Amino acid sequence: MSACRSLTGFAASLFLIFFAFAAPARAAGCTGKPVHLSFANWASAEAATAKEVQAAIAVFEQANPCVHIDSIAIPYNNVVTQLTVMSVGHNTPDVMQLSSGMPDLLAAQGALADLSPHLTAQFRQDNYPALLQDGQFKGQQVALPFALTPHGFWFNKGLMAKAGLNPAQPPETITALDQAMAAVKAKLPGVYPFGIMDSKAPYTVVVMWPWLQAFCRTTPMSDNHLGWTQPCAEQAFAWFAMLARKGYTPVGNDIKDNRQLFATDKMVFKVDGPYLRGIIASISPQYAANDAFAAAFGAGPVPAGPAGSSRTAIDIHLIAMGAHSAHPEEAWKFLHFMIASPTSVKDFLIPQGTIPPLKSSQAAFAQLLDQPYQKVWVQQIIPEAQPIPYNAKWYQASNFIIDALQAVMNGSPVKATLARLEANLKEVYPDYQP
Amino acid sequence: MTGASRLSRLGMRRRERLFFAATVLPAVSVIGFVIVAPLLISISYSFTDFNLIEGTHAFVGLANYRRLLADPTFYQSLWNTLLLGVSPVVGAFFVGFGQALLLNEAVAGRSLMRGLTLLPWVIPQIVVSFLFLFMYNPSVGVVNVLLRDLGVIHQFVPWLALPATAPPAVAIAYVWTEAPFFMLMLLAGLQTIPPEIVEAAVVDGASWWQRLLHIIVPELRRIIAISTILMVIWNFNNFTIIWPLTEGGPVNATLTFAVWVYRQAFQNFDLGTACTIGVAWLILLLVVTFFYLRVVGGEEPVT
Repeated sequence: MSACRSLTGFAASLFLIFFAFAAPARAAGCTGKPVHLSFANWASAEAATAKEVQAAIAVFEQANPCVHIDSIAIPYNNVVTQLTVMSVGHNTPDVMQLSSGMPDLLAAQGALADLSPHLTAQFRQDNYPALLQDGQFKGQQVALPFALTPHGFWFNKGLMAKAGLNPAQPPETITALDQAMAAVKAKLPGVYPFGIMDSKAPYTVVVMWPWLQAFCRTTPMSDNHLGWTQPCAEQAFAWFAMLARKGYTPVGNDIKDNRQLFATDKMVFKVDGPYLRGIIASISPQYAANDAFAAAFGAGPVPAGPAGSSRTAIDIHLIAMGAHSAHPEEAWKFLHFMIASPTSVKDFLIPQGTIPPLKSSQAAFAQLLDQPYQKVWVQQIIPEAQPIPYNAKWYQASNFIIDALQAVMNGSPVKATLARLEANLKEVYPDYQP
Repeated sequence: MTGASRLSRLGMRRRERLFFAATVLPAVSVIGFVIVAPLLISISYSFTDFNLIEGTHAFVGLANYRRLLADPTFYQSLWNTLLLGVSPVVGAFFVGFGQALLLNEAVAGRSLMRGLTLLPWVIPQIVVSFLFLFMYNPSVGVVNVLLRDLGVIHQFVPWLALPATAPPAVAIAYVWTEAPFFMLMLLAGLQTIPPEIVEAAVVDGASWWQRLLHIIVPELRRIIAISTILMVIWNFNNFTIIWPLTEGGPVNATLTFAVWVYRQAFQNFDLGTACTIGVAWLILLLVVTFFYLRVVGGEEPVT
C-alpha cells in the first residue's frame, strides 16, 4: 500500500514537472497570451555576430514581454538548403534572415509572405528603390533590405605605393586597372595584383557579377534573355581568362582565401563588401584601429568598363516573413525592429560591418558611419548598385556559370565555352530568349 | 509417436518460430524502413519530375533516364567515379602492402610503428579533407613549399583548381587515408602464412622476389581480392573527401555520382534527376558487389 502511495506520488511529481516545463513560459510583465516566433538566421551561428544579434533580440523581448524569439542558428552555407527543406515540410520560420537571391527561390515555393500591406509610403521612400526591388518576386515585396553589403573595390595603399602607383588615385576604369595590375606584377613578386573568386561555391557568381556589369550594359540573364554569347559577355570572360593567364589572380581560390591574402599584404585589389574591414582586423590585428586601417586600405566604386559608369551588383542581407506564420503582426513588429530600431542599427548592423538599410538610420547614426570606406559605400556604391537578375532557378544556373568561368580561367576557348553555357542554360530556362 | 507428444512438438516448433520472428523482426523492420523503403521510393522518384522549387511531382516515364544518357556530364561523372574509385585503391594497396611486409618483420619499435601507421585510418575523413585542403593551398600550402624547395616546381601550383591536377590530388588524399586498411588486412594475412613454407623456399634458394611472387601473394590472394573490392565500393560512395576539397570541380573534373546526386538534390532541389543518377550509381555498385560476392563465396577454404 505504501509502495503504491509512493508510486502515485512519484507519478504526480513527474506530471507536475512535465507541465511546468511544457506550459508556455510567461515572461515577467506579459499580461496577454505568450507568443513564440521562430527566427532563422546565420548571425547567431557566427561567433563575430552571435552576441550582437542575441542582444538585439533581448531588447525586443524586453519591450514586448509576451513575445519570445526562438533563434534558429543556421550556418550561411546551409541557409538555402535548410529553409527549402523547412518550407517543403510546411515548417517555415516566422522570420528569416536571407541573402540576395534567396527570396526568389523561397517565394517560388510559396514560403514567403507579401509584406506590401505593411509598407507605408514613408518607409518606401526611406529605402533605396533598387534595393527594395531585390526583395520583390512577381510584384510582391517578399523580403526587405536588412543590411547593405554590396561589393566595392578595395585596394591596399601600401602595396600600391610600393608598385609605383598613387594610392590616392585608385583605378577608376578597367583599362587603368589592367595597367595597375601589370605594374604590380612587374614590381612585386609574390604579390597577387588582383583577386577574383572562382571556387565552386555559388557565391562565385555574385563576386563575378560587378565585372560583368562593367562590360555589359545589360547583363546576361536580364529580362528573360540568356545573353551569354553577346560580345560584351565574351569580352568579360576574355578578361577573366587574361587574369588567370597572366597570373594576376590566384586560380581556384574561395573568397576566404583571397581575404586572407588581402589582409596579409599579398594581394593589392579585390572586390568585397564593407564588412571586409572587420575581417581584415580579425586576420591582421595591427589594422584594428581606425587610423591604421585607413592608412593601409582604401575603397572605391568598382572600376568602370566598356559599359560606361561604375556600377556594382546588389548583394545584401534581407529579412522576410514566413507565409504561414501564425503570428504575422508580431512577426512584422520584430522584423521592423530588426531593420529600423536604434538598438538593432547601432548595436548590431553597424558593428557587424554592414550599412543600415534606411536612409534615416544612416543620417541618425552618421557619426558611426564616418570612416572613409563607410562614406564611399553610403555616398557612391549603394546609390549606384544594380540588382543581379535572380530567379527561382538561380542556384541551378550558378553551377553552369561557374563551370564556364573555371573553364576559361583554365584555358578553354571563350567563345565555345560561352556557347556551351548558353546551351546548358537553355535547358534550365526553356522560355528564355538567346 | 502419440498424439500428445506430436502436439507438444508442434507447439514447440510454433514457439520456436515465434521466438525466431520476434528476434528477427526488429532488425528486419529497421532494414525495411531505413534501407528498403527509401530505396524503393527513390527508384519511384526517378520516374517523376519531382522538383521542390517548381513544385512538380508528375510521372514522366523514362524521360529522366533518356536525358541522363544524352548528358555528357553523365559520362564524365561515370568516368570520374570509376577513376576515383579504382585508382586510389591501387596506390593504397601498394603502400599498405609495403607497410605490412615491413611490419611483419622483427624490426625495432614494431608495435609503435603499427599504431602510427594506423593513424590516417582512424582520423575522420572530413578532418583528412581539411588537412589536405591546407596542404594543397595555392599560396601557403606545404606541398607547394616542399616541391619548390626541392626544385620540382618554380611557382606555386593551385593543385585543386586545375582540371589536370585536381583528380590526382584528390586520389592522393584517398591513398593516405586508405593505405592503413590494406596494411591491417594484409598484415593479418601475412601472419597466417605458415613460416615453414617460406623457410623451405629459402632453403631451396628462392630470392625475396620469388618468395613474394610465388608464395606470399598467392597465399594472400583472397584477402587482396576482398579488401580491394570493398575499398572500391567504399570509394564509389565517398563524399566526405571530395566535397570539401573540390565540390566536384574544377569544370566537373572530380564530379562523381555521389557529388552529383548531392548537387542535384540539395543545390538544385531537382529530386527526380537526383534519384535517376542515384539509380545509375546503384547499378554500378551492384556490378561491383556481384564480383565481391563471387570472390567471397567462390572459394571454399581447404580443410
